[in-house]
Amino acid sequence: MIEESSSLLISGIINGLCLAGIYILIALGLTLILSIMNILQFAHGEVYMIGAYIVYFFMVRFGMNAVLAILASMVITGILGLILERLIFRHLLNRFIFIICVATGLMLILQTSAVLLFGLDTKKIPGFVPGTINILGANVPNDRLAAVAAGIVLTSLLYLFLKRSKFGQAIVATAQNREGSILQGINPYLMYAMVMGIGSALAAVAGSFTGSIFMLDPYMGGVALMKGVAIIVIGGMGSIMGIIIGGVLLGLSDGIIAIYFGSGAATIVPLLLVIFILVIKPEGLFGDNA
Amino acid sequence: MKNKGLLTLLVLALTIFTFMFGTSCGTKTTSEMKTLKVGANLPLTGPASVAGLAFKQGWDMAVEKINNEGGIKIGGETYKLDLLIEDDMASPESASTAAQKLCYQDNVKFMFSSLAAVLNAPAYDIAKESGALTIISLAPSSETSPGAYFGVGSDKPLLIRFGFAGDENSVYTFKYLAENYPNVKTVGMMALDFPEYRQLNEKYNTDLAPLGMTVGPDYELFPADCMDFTPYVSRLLATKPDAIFIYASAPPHSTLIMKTAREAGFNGPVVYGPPLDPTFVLGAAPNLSDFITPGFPMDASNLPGPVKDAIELGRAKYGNDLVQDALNAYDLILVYSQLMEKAKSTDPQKVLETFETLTKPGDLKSIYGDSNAMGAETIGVNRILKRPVPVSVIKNGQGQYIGMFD
Repeated sequence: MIEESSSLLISGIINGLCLAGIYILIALGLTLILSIMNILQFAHGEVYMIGAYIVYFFMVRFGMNAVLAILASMVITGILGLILERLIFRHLLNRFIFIICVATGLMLILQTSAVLLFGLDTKKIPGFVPGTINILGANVPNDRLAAVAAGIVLTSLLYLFLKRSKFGQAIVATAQNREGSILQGINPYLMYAMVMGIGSALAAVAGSFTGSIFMLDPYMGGVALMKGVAIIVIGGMGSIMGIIIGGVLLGLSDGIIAIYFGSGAATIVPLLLVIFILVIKPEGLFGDNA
Repeated sequence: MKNKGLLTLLVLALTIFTFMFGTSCGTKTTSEMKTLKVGANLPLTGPASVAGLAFKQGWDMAVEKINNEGGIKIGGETYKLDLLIEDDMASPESASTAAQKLCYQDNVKFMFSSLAAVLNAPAYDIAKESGALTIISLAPSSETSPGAYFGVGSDKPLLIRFGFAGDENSVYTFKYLAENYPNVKTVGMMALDFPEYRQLNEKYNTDLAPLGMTVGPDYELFPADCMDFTPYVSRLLATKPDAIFIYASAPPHSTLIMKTAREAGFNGPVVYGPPLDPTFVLGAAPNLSDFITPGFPMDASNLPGPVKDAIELGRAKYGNDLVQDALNAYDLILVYSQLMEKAKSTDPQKVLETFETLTKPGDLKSIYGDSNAMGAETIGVNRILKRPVPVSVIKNGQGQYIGMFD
């Protein structure tokens, strides 16, 4: 009995961490764009969805291996991000209502494009790492552990990029003080382009894992956007540590609550967490006071 | 003189106009064939559109076949079938609006209902008031299932059911399970979290008891948009079932549940409730085995002739986009055309009364085999179409069609 309940808990924790890995990748991109460009990119969920379909296309139609397909998807969605920034978002800075309208339209365009190209049926990306491993009595699928690993690796790489590289430091400077960074010779438009490209590439990786572990369909972006926004609220805008903590809290909540309290509670608890954080610390756990 | 000539021309023109466009209810005459307008509502957009579009696929196939073969012969007249499909967007309000349009603008006297009880009920209320016969295309549960709130009965005029209900299909898959997996004693159940599914334990314990099986102590209900089944499958497996029965879900759920169960180390049989090509779940894991459905692999070589013909027809029109639900839908229209021919009338009440008399197997022919009307023993009226149910299983990554059960 104890063995059964511990394997149930372990399964829930591992599943929660896997979900956290995916959520963190979505939220990192979203928070980068929000911090630097002051834009809540409502179509970020659709970029995540497009990234997943690109991997599906390369793996299923061309038989490409998972790593190459994911890298190709990161490049293509990164370029998509650059195009969106250059053609659309750059011209809408500080025009909040316009951004909402345009991003909503973009969302519909990307969803409809996916429907036209791939159909309404759900699809599945072949598993990246087949098989399972036994951890303390619970059978854990390898591809879920791969999602955790991908989340850790990419988050670490992003952190190192922002802290140690010239461009990363420039991005941080732009986030902290846009006018000051311009005076230092930093081109803000180049920073915007970089964060859109990086954010979109991270979303593509998240989408690929979702499409492999679960399924993909043209409407999967909505849930992803909600999770990303919830994590930013919980963790605090612009803080990588906040995103990590927020992502882990949300992931574990989704992974464990449903096991012990059912689907209804699993839906409500994350929302209650968001409300609680907004009440006690509106800037988020690691956000700066306004 | 000039005015008289103009007046004559005007009267002549009006006469010709009236002759060409005057109509009686639901039909118009052409030089060769009358047209029988039949209405239908389906979720063509929105979250259930995959199912709706599959049904549309099958219905379009059937209408084309019937019309290409000369139409339906009803009481000495030949009718071309004109199926008018409205999008109910899987919402009861839109289902009502769709039914309003079909019954009062298009003047249909026969209406195929949508794919869920919550959509069928409001549409039926409108169709009944207009005098149209409603034919239920798909039923989540039978009328005798606890919690079922819409279905045929002696208290519901102008309503018949063609679609088999999930719990009616499962009688056959359970029989197959009992015969081929004698070690299965406890069946763990999973279903979509809809109100009508919350009381099924009692019914399934009744169905399974004669086969020496019982339903597990609890069953798992999951939300319709669920993608991550780990919590639900983990909880179900903690009750140590010998088999898993997925009572009601969309096909993608079956793949995810199968994948999650196998990854968690469960090697017992998994039975799926709704009709499904079993090879649909092959993406879940390599060399999958022991997945049982009331459906058939579309490429099986031992399928009955009429089913193969239907698949061939469907593939010619839709290629590999043809789905199994389309074949079920196709069959409904073919059976409907037979019913109309036997009724020899386009009067909805007469058609219903004719249907109630067709109680011998073979009175109607489905692509699955001999069919007939039934229901007197359970609900007091013979207003349900009984068709044989195909059963198939996956073994070592291959779909095997077992046979038709009735």
